[in-house]
This record gives sequence, structure tokens and C-alpha cells, in this order.
Amino acid sequence: MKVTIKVRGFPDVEAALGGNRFMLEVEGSTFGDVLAEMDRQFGEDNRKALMVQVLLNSKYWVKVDALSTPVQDGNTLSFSNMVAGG
Amino acid sequence: MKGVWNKIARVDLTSGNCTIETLEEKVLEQFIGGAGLGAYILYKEVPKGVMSADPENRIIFATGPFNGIRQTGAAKWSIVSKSPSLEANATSCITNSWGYELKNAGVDALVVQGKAVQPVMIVIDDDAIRMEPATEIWGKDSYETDDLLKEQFGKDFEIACIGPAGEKQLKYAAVVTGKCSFAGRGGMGGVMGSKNLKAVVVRGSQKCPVANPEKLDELNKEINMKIYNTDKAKPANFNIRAHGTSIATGLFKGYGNMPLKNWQLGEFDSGIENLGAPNYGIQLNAKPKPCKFCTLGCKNHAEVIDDKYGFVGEGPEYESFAMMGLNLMVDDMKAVAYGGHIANTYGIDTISLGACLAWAFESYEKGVLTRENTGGLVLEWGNAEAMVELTKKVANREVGLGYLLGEGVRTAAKYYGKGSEAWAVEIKNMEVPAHDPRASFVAGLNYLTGASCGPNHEKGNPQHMFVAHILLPEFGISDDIDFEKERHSWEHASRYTAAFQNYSNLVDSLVHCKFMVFSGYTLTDMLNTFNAVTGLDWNFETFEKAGERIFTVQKLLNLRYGITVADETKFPERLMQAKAEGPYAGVAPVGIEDAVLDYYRHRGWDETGMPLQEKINEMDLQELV
Repeated sequence: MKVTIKVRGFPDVEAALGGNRFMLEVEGSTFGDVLAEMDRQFGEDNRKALMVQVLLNSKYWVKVDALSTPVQDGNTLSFSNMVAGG
Repeated sequence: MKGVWNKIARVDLTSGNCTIETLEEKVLEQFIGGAGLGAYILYKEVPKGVMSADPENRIIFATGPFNGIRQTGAAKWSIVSKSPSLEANATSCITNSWGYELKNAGVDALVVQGKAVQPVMIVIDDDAIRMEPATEIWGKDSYETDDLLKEQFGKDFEIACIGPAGEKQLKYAAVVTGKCSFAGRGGMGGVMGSKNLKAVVVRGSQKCPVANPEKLDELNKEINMKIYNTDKAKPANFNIRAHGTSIATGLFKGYGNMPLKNWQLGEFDSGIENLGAPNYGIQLNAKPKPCKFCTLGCKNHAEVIDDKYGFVGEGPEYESFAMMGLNLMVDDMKAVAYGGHIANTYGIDTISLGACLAWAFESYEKGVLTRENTGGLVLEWGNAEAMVELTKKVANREVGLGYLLGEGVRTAAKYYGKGSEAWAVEIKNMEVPAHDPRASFVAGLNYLTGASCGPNHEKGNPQHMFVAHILLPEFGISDDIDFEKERHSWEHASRYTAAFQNYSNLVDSLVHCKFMVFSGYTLTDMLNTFNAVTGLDWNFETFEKAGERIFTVQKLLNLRYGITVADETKFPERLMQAKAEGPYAGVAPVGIEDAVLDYYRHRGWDETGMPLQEKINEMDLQELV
């Protein structure tokens, strides 16, 4: 399946990934399969740094340990680092 | 509706009457608690013509269904009153354990009216409410007051008090609790001062029943761990537990979001480096000091060893060190923290204070102020000592410049004149906080249209879509947009601003902590928790509608108290000037006045900002309005 990956708020990791938005070709059909492919392509350390807040199709929150969450061809996974001050 | 008592305590400081009243059940079903309950009470009880310092003004200390539920972020509570700076309704949120004790005392809120003939405190010990003299502690700073009252009543009591700034009715005086949390915006401390009310001392032992305690326990376990683990997993220098809100500096740098030299500059390398992570924690010897139940731990305790700027107390938040440090080109972390410490002990909003100091520094540079006005202080950009000494003059309400700055930047600029109004950065007579509308236009739209507390960033925070990556997909705010295009566009700004304002009202009414969203707390978590506590089985539509309903009442209050479309389209001149360097140089929020009118249409209001009857009906406000 082909999955779009979006990354926001991780300047160092985005540099390592070569950008903040790209397509990923994945064998499998789960969130865990996507993470495994990201480990393979970008290294586990870079992928782990993104495991903060994850959104599926800009609509549904994905728990970072819910590896069996189904992901389909054409889906988007957004990894966001939400940070601020007050 | 469970999770609430449907009771309020009322103290009339004029007559001395202390009573408990029952609320009709539908009130909290409509207005939830906290900010919403406060807006409802103001709407019912404080008519047009009552000024903030009049005895007829109410000050409402309000909890919500989330107080006491042992969830991270559920220590917050809200204060609502007519604000001395806005002379309109304002909500200010505050945390630590005071709200928990009030809720455990068996009431949802305390409403205070009237004026005592001499300084008093209110003591609430479960069902027993009384007034006691406070003449001996009048004049004490907020930290001393807290210590003395805990010694007098016991460490299991919590204290909400004012320092000398509130006693002297400085326009942006704060209410202080636990020597670590401050209801700064809106000048609530001055309202207490106008009533001769020094402190409210509270202890409670009752637990408010919730609808589904097993479900709530399950949610709390999951959420509390998620918040802790998410923050722990953040990249270096972005962990809020380790660095407090100094994490913001590194993030905002790239977005041009910070106030530099009274909003003139786009770059300040030494300031951004020094007033950020990790230098903050190192310089201030900062250790996390979480609020009750909190697993995030953004607040910190500082112990600074320094001959000139040594202190022990609460470390400054981003807003404080941005407004009192970056905005004055002061890059000395210890000095900025010390200035903030003075403000904390006197009980002063550091945002408004920083804005007034910056105006003074620029006025000195431009010859509007001289050393004669400043009492010999050299108000040169970057002069940390001058910043600290001028803070003392404001805190002590020293006759002359110190006093006038305590009246707010608009008043000071009007008095000294010579064109200095051009760099007085305020809206509706309240100073603008540390998020630059030139970095994201929605920040400016929120400042102009905010009905909860004037130009208050966190009563909304729509700029966080763009500078902090916050998303509210449950309310239709997600990442399926072109952020770079939208940050400087008016096309959808009304929708974004309104959604965040509605969300903010929910948080301020439940009452919960907006920082939880930075570590993975979602609207889904919030709604699930709300339903488990109250048993009401709401969906996202009803949830957002409640936030909008509360905003509608806040807007009606704004209109009642005289805020007009002219006030809401008068944007600070300084913020309409594009910066010459740094991120988004050359950008200014041109067209913001039209954007306000578009916002009114989006909200279902007429061209004066009055909610149309259709909107009143949609919000189920026919009976109230």
C-alpha cells in the first residue's frame, strides 16, 4: 500500500527524512507495518522521535502503541509535535 | 448532571451575609461551570453602568465538573468579574489546589459582592463560611500572605490572595495562589482590592459524586500515563517537564512569533538563546513543580543564587520572560526571572507589565520620557537593572511614571503624549500578549474579537495551529490545509478563530488545563471524560455548541458593558508595521478590520457584533437573554 506521511514540528528529524511530507510504500496493512517500514528507511531512532501525536487521515487520533490500527492504501499519517508556551 | 453540586456560596461583604444557594440544574447543563458559570452569573447580576470597582460588581471564583476528578490538568479553576482595565467582563484562569478545596467544600463557585469597611478575608471550611478581619496582613506581599495564613489556619487550607498591587488597585493586578499560580489577565486582583478583600481561605472534605466512576478511573489511568509518556518522548529541549515553557522560544524563533524590542524586530539572537531551553533551567536551577494530579509538570520552582537577582519562587513562563525580557531586549535570564518574581510577590500580570515597560523604554529612546520622569533610571534597551527598578516603581505605585504605568499603557501614553500612542500596544485598554499577529493573522483576529478576556492569547490560541502545530480535528481543525498559505490569509481565519475560542471556553468551564493538548490530550479524551463525569452523553456537536453558547453570553456582556465594533476594529499601529528582518519580514495583517466583520457574519452576528435572534435561538439562550 502507499501511505502519505506528514511531519510537523521535528526540525532535526525532518532534515534526516529529507522533508516533512512524502509517500511511503508499505508491505502490510497496519500502523505497525508503517512504523516498521519507517524504521527500515530512516532508522529506528528517527522514527521513534516522531512517536508523539499521530493522526490518521487528518481526523482520527492513533494511539502510539496501537500497532494493529488498520491503515489502508491512500491513507495519510501525520506525526505532530505540539508545543507551545503560555 | 453529576460532577457538580448545583450550589454556590455567596458572600456579601457589605452586609456580612454568607449563604449557600442552590442553582437550577439546567444552569450547569447549559453553562457547565468555571468561565461559563461566571458569565451566566455576571449576565444575571451585573447590569450596565456598574464599574469594576463598584460594590455591585461580582467576583466569581468558579470550579467545574472536572475539579477533583484526579486527572492531569484538572486542578484549574476560573475567576470571572468585570475587569478594571477592560471595564468589561473578563475570565482569568489559575491553578494549584485552591479550586480542588473549594469543590470539596461542597460548592461549585463562590460569588463575592459588596465592599467591606475594612480589610477582610473569607474563610470557607466545608459548609461553614465566615468573614474575618485581615487588617494585620493588609500590605503583606502574596507570598508572605500565603505563609501567614497557612500558619494561622493550617497547611491543609489553600489560599487565594492579593499582594500590594491588588490592594492599591493597579489595573492589571493578579490574584495569587500557592505562591505559584497567578490569575493575571484582566486585573482580578484589583477587583478584590476594591472590595477590601485580601484573601479567600478554603478547605473541603466532601467528594462530588460522578456518573461513572469506573469509566473515569480507566480514562484517568490511560490519560495520565499518555501525557507523561508523550512529553518524555519529545525531542531534546522540547520536554516541558524538563524546561517549562522555555521550550517555546526555540519553536517560535522560526515563526517570528515573539515580541522583540516592543514588537519592532524580527531577530534577537542572544535573547532567544538565553531565554530558552536549556539555559532557562540551568540559570534558574529550575525543578518541576506540578499542579495537583498533573503528570505533565510545566510549572517549575526556581532557586537562583545571585547577589543581585537571587530569589526562591516560581520560575517565569514564556509570556513573562518574553514580555519582560525579549520585548525589552534584556537577555539576562536571572534578571528577567527576578523581575517576574517581584511581579509575582506584589501580584501583577507580567504580560501587561512587560508591555508597559517596553512602551516606557521606547518612550525614553524617543525623548518622550527623560531621566526626570524615570527617577534617574536609564531606560535603554537591554538594561536589565533598569527593567528591575522600573518594575519596583510600578509595583509600589510610585507617584509619577510608576503609578501611570500601573494604570495601563493606554493611560500612560495618553498622559505623556508626543505621539507615544503609536507604540502603546493594546486593544480595548488591555495590553497585547506575546504572540505576533504578523506570524499568523488569526492571532490578531482573536485579540480583536476575544469576548472572554479582551486580547488574551490563551482565550482561543488559534495561532497555535500555525506556531505550535495544535490540531482540533474533532472540531474540524486539522492538517489537511496548506499551513503556509493559511497563516497569512483571511479566507478561513474566522472559522479557525471561532473554533478555537469555543474550545477555549470549554476548557475554561470544565475547568481543565490547555497545556495537556501539547502532550497528546485530545478533544476525544475531554468529551469522554466529560460524559463519564456528568452522565450527559454529549457528542462533539453539543460539546462545541456549549463552548459557543458561553462565548455568545460573553459577547452579549461585552456589548452591555460598552465594547463596540470600533473597539474591535482598532488594531495597534505597531502590529500593522511589517518587520524588516527575520521570519515573515514584510508581512502585516492588512485587511484585519474587514476580517472582523467577516468573523461577525461567521458567528451569526450583525454588523455591530450583536448576535442575531437566530443565533440566540440556536444557542438555546432565549430564556436568559
